[in-house]
Amino acid sequence: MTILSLVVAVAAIVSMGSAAVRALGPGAGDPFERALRGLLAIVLGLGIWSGAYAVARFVGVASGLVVLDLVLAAAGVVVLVRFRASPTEPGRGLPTAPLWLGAALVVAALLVAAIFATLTAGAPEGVDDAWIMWTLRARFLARDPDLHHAFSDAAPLWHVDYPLLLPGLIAQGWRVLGGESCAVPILIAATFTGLAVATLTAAVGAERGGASGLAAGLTVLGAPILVFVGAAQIADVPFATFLLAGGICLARAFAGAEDRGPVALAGLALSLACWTKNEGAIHLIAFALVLAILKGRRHLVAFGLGALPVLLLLAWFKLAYAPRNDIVSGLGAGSALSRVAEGGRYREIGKALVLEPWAIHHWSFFPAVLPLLIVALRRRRRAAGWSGAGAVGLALAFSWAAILVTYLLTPYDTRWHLASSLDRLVTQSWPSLVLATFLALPPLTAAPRVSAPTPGRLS
Amino acid sequence: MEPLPARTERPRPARGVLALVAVVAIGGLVRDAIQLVPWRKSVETRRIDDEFAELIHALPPDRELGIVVDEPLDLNVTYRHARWALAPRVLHPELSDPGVRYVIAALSDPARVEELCRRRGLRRVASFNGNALLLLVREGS
Repeated sequence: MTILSLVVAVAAIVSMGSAAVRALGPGAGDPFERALRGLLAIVLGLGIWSGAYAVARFVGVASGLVVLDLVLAAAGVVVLVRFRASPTEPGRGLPTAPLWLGAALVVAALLVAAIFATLTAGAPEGVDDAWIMWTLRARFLARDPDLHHAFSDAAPLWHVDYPLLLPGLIAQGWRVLGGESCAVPILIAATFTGLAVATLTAAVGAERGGASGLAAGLTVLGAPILVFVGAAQIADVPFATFLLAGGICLARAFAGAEDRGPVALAGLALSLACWTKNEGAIHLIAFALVLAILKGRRHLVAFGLGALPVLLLLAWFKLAYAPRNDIVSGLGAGSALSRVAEGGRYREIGKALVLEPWAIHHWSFFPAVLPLLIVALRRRRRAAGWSGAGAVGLALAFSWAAILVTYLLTPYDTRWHLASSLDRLVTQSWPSLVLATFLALPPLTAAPRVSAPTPGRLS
Repeated sequence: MEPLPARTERPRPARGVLALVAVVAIGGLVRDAIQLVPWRKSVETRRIDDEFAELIHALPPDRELGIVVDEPLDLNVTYRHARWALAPRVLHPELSDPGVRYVIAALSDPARVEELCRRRGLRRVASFNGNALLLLVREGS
């Protein structure tokens, strides 16, 4: 039964994800593009699988969920058959990567995998936040047919109003494997950490050639906090992966085609980020703003349609189950105005923004990427108007403006709030920032040129 | 004379960007490795479920329980562990809910337990982990 459940679950994830990725339209036949589509299918499929589980639980279905997986798998197959893939475009002759760069990425990935394994061996339940919030909620989902207990106000639980993508995935994993093994949250954490790196590498490789893709993968691995937060079994790396998927799709919408499929897919990815953590709403609005400003109403509608199903699920959760958000409930009009007038808050935020990225515990040399992005975007925009990289960069800039305003208005002590959350918020944006940077840069290697044979010279 | 076959030039990466990538990646990865040692030493690896196994075995099927600890609930480690291990039971602070019959006490001072029992009409049912955890019940339940 376990093997059957596992096979059906994998079929549901892959077929629903693959069906969604059809919205990208025809793609080039190069390996990076094929890898990107496969990885996006897994990312989105995992999100859809968790969302479908939540819908089943909300309507009172707590057992026989293998049937739900069968229905999902069949629905995905129907979509794949109904909307057959367009003929593959010929390869675009993108530059290839030098072998040593591929070897460097493999070595870095192995080192990070070893670090992930060591961290996990030291803390099989993840960090405190993992079992206090995310895995604990999964326990409630897995053990209690009545969902309301998981959100009871009787016993205070940190961030009870957080949505259910990660707890839903863990609970589903336990169901499929037939027990509450700590291997499930570990596997989910490892999967999303790997997906974040691999999807970024494939996306940049598909657009800018292999060397750029591999360099982007190396860069994202170079921020120590990615693997630390990934192994912590909290929701920030899954969030970062959905945000990255949204950024990749948004960039595709600026690649010249008028097709709104990628925009709808960006909407789906961003809505899954909303279903992972509350701050997803900030990024969703930022993406919508970028589309409204740079693309217009038709693309904005496509984005909204892609996001709508999961946003409806989120609204259902917020209205029927979740208590009020602690930050929102602490935002009175009068108190918000008085906080805006507090000079100390600006100082604390400025200090954290300057010092935190360089703090030895977290970041190392990552801020070196930011000036590179700004310079590359300015050059590119002068040359060719708004590009996908510019759109993703602008969306991140809007998001971070809103995040900084949130810090300004927070009902908590600003220093404590910054210390407890800023590093995770940067982790969420880090893969997308690297994506925007490497899309803004020209390919790191020139396309292989065929030089004319030199008469009389032996090669 | 037949022309020689065409030659494909090896791609040359942009050196400046790759140097920056190397600084970011190597610096970050080395730091990852260095940070590993202190991180491992500071991690608490105690398995919470084992800590509560005996108590769970002795618990009645009541959905809701009370809990009393030394500090405010949000700050107390035993409360966090109990919340994890006893899920999906709902834990109420002390006996704030009149429907609650059983209370878990994790108090460092035994005198406080006696005082609590006298004040709230509770009696001791069992103790676990060398009196670190007590199961109390409302008198007459």
